Amino acid sequence: MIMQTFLNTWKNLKNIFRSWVSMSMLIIGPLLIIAILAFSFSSSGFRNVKLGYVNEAEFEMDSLVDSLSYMGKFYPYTNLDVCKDKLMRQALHGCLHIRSLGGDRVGIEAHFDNGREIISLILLENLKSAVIEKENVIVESATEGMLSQVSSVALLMDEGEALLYEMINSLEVQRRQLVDARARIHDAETKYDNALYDAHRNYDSLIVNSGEYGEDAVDEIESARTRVTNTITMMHNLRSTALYLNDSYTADQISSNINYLEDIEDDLWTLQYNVQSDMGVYKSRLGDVDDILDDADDAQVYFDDALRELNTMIITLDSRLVSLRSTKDKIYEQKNKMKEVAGMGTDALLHPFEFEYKPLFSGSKRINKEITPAVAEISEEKKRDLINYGSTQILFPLIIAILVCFIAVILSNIIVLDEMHSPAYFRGFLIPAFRQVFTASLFLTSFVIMFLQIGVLLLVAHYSFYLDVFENIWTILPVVVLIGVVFSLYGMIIAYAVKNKASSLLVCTFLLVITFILSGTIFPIERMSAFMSALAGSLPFSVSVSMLQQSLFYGIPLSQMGNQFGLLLVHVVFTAIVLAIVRFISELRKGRLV
Amino acid sequence: MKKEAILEFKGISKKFGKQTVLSNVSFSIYENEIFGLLGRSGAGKTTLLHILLGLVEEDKGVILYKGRKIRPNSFAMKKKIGFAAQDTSFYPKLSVEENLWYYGRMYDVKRKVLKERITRLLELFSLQRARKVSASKLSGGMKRRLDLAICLIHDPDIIILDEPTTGLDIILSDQIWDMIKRIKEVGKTVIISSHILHQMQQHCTTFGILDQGMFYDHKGLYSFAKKHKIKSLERLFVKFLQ
Repeated sequence: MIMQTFLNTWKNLKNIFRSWVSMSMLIIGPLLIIAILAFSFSSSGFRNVKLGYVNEAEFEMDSLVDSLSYMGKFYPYTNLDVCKDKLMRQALHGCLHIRSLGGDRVGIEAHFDNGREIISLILLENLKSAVIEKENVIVESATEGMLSQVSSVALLMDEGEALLYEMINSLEVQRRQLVDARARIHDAETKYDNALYDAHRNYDSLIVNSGEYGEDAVDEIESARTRVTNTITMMHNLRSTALYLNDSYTADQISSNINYLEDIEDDLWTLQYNVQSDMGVYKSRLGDVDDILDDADDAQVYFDDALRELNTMIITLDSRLVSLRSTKDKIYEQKNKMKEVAGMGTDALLHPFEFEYKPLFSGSKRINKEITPAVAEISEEKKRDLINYGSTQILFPLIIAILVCFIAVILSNIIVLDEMHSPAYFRGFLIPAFRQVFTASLFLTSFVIMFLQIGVLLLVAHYSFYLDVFENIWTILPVVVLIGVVFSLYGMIIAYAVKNKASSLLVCTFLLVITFILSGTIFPIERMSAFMSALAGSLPFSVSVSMLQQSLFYGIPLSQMGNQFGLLLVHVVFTAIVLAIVRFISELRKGRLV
Repeated sequence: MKKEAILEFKGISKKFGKQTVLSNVSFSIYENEIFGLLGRSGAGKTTLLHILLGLVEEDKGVILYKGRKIRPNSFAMKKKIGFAAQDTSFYPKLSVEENLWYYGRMYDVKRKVLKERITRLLELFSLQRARKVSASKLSGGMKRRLDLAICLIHDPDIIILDEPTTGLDIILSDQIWDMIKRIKEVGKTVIISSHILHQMQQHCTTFGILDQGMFYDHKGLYSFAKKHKIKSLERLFVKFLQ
């Protein structure tokens, strides 16, 4: 029995390894998937990420934008609604609403499309890190600023202290100088007072003496005395003459006058002596007055010196005053800065940003309508269920796309293979009909079945999960149909290319695995290498998921998704051409085509 | 009155790669006859039939239908020919009637005509009681009969049968030959390729042998049989090929 089991296993392995398709899928397939993964994620960073921001706080964005430039490009908007509209249309990956929270605090609302959850969360994570980094820079800068202010204050205080030392020293010197000046002024004042007293006294004495005597008076007295002497001499001559003339009377008379004149002469001698004596006293007093005047001059010099010193001291004091005023202004400025910092509060200082996540989709319109308080009352349980549905709805575009892809590829593949392996297949070549008729009918067959399944899916989405399906049916339907057509054609191409059922299904599975890898649902397209990102972004699966998200979540009509719809149409045409070629080659290879 | 050739093969040659399968094959088939095409395995019988069916293109030569050159893969020619192979060729999950209806409509037979024809064919091939039965549930003999009925659904002039009785027991084989005779009776020309020589000898009105790409018609074969005093087709076949 064991031998038979091994024998069968050996036979099965032989069967598998002798089919080149199975071999390719089993050996090359995983290697190819690894290669695709490696090629897709060969480079780090983001591709084609666009972020909008509305800067109401006039926040300095440059450094934040610089630090996030590795993520993508930032576009400024003046209106948040415009920015959010772009976000809904997937023209942006996020919208930052930057507003002032008072003081230096800034609120950052990160609006993101939770429909594109994986890339949004990655971007938000990076954004948050950048904001924290920026916050750290700001805190660091604020701390540095504070330390700088403290350092400035300390420097200022050093300067002030030095200034005060200087001032004290200067004032001490000046005090000493003032004390000296005061003493000197005091001496001068005493001297001046004494001199003034002496001057007054001498002046009075001079006034008294100068009224009786004078130099002229001495000369005049001497002149008068000389004239009197001369007269006496002449009188003697006259008495001699009179005696000669024997005029004794006259001689006597003359002698009497001579005696009188001699008395006058004596008086004049006395007067002259007295005047001369008084003049000596006067001259002595004049000497005293000169001394006093000298003393007054000295006092004047003292006063001038003292005045000069005082002026110097005033200039020095003025200069110190200027320094003191400047220091006072600096202290005032620093004080205000310190007050400002003190007024910020610890939270604002440590957390200058308030970061808030704002998911764009909060449930379909139907759910929001149901849970709005204005509508008839619903139970809490029902409300909770509806909110839960709201979070489940995010997955629906992806679920619809996945199911459509799965159904389309597998179903069309099976239908074509069934037909090709049907005993009636051969007869089809004998029928007078174009081969395209059979291909088209196979496609239509799979499409009808797929359409029924899509219908059921959309009904469930609408009625059980409250999605706005009917409201957006004219967008959803063409998208679902086109993605179904593309993947049906894929399934048919594989069936025509690989006729063995097991191998064909293996190839379908392989295709679906690659589709999912490159769809952005597992690994974000924005993280792939430039080429793979561009390729994956234009693949029908990712395009249709994007269109379904826009339509189901935000009601964006098909007319506004022209480019993506056009891309899907291009895929349909391209795949149809490939199908025609593969079918032609397949039938030609079989030798059943003329 | 000389019969008119319904089909004429003139200088048909076909190579697959370097291997010559048919070399300047020329012969005629006449109306309302059962033509037996003989030859060992790999002699080119199926290739010749496939050329006639428009499944394979000849390298050289022409085929004339009632004296006019035709393209076998043309829609007009496909409507003139019915084909049944050793393996039945219909949709097993459709009923007998559904299969007939499907192929009838595919051959562009009008609904009213088709309805009558289906009834007639079901009678002809004794399938009335099985008309609603899924084809997959039919017995081997009934499947062959249904295949023949489908082959006739568009009322072709020429019926090509490739190994129609191979693998069948003697009773079923007789039934099939009975059906073939009935087909002939309704005025059709039948071309049969088979290895079962005694049945061919019994039922075919004329025949030819393909060997190493060359075709030998019944006139030559009769001369050969006469010359070698051979009465059995089997003996003739073996002797001729030797």
